[in-house]
Amino acid sequence: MAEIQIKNVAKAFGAYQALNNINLTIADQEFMVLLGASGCGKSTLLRIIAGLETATSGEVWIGGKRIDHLSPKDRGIAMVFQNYAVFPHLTVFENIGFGLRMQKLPNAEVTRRVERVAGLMHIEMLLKRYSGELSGGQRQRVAVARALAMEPDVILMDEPLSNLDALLRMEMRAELKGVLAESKTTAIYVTHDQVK
Amino acid sequence: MTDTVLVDAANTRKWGRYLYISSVVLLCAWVLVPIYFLMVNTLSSPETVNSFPKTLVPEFDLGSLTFFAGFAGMLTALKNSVLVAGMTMVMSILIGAPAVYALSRFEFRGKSTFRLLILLTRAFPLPLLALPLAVMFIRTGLDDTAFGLALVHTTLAVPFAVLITFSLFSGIPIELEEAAWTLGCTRLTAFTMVVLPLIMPGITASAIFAFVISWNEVFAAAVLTIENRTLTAFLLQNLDTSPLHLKFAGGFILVVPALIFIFAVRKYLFAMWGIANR
Ligand SMILES: Nc1ncnc2c1ncn2[C@@H]1O[C@H](COP(=O)(O)OP(=O)(O)OP(=O)(O)O)[C@@H](O)[C@H]1O
Ligand SMILES: [Mg+2]
Repeated sequence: MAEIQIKNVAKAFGAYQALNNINLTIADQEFMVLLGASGCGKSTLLRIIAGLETATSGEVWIGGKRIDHLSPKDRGIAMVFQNYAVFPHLTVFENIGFGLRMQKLPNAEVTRRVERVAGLMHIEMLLKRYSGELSGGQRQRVAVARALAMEPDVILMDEPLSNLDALLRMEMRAELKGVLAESKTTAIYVTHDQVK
Repeated sequence: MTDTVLVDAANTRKWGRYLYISSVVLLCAWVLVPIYFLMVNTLSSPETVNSFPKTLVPEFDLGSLTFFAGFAGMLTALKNSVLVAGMTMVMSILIGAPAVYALSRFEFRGKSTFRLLILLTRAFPLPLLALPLAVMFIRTGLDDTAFGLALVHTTLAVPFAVLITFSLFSGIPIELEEAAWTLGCTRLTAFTMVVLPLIMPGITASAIFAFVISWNEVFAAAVLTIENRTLTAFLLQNLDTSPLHLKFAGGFILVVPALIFIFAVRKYLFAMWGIANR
């Protein structure tokens, strides 16, 4: 059960009010799409849910628990960053397996999960490469795969497919929705792509 | 008409090229010829070094170097140099790296002043500082110790360590650390798993650079030590009494590690000076 509740969340950067009293409930296993103009605060909201930014006021609840005070790693979330944040010193395989290694999963399990999500994202042939040897769209898919591999309760995706060509994007989005529905993950999907 | 213009332009370009090449050759010779003579004389027997005419090819005779190693106090001085440079290296990293992490990751009051202050330590000429330092060291019992000298060398090296590592730290996007946090890292593990591997080459470079700074430093070493002289101070002290081949051998032993190290870390020095070569 991972229902996300955002209650009266506001965020100010100095004098600039980035978020103003946001109230939002995302039901368990829902695939919620956040659509909005550039600079309207979508990333900021995701970062508050992830615990990378503290809200000026308001509360964030996940699965019936208030999580504002928890550090990112204890929130049961995975996040796809708008600028990918793929680790340059690790191979694609180790990037995707990073979170699993942190959980100290056995090697065989890490390999199994990495290969599965790499297959989903069509990057199974890139596993030995480094981030510097990937195209923008490939890097972006590594970032998505890395979050998926965690099999989190909640996945936060900040324009995860923006760098793919329209055809691949449509295909991937459908696949992503299928996978997340199957794994019963609650998802927030940020985009400014109007064709939905 | 256009032909002559073209020919003129080609001529100018050709002359420009000659000028360019000859300046490069001149500059290289400026640096390399003395080093070459140093090498030739070091690798020749004492008799050859002291005789005329000078040779231009090394004999590969180890006489001078053997004499150098056998000269009373020389090996101790060499050991002191290594010891002081080693301590300088460790201390400037232990002090410099955390300072840089704070500078590049946190906002705090007086940040730009702090940054300026670090660089300002290089604005005071060492001779000005050496005398009060010597007095203070004698009071605290730090005079004539390797540790005391290493402290002074650390203040000289820290600004460089900060300059080099700062550009590297700033080049590491904070999102990488944030991604690590969301993937189950604490602040500390994110640092060791993500930041450290990325800045390790830079840390190594500034460590080596600190070593070289200490290795080559002579003024503070000469003022602050008496018995525990470093190699530079020792050579300076014996400059008028030592024979020519000893000076050559000593100079060579001083130059070689510095050259090798600088060559090894040149990429990061360029980064420090803002010359991108990647
Ligand atoms: N650290 C910060 N300091 C000051 N202002 C900030 C900071 N981070 C974001 N902002 C401001 O907050 C607003 C919302 O930013 P945010 O990144 O959430 O936008 P976004 O909706 O994700 O836009 P985009 O679609 O372009 O990614 C912007 O106007 C931005 O300038
Ligand atoms: Mg954004």
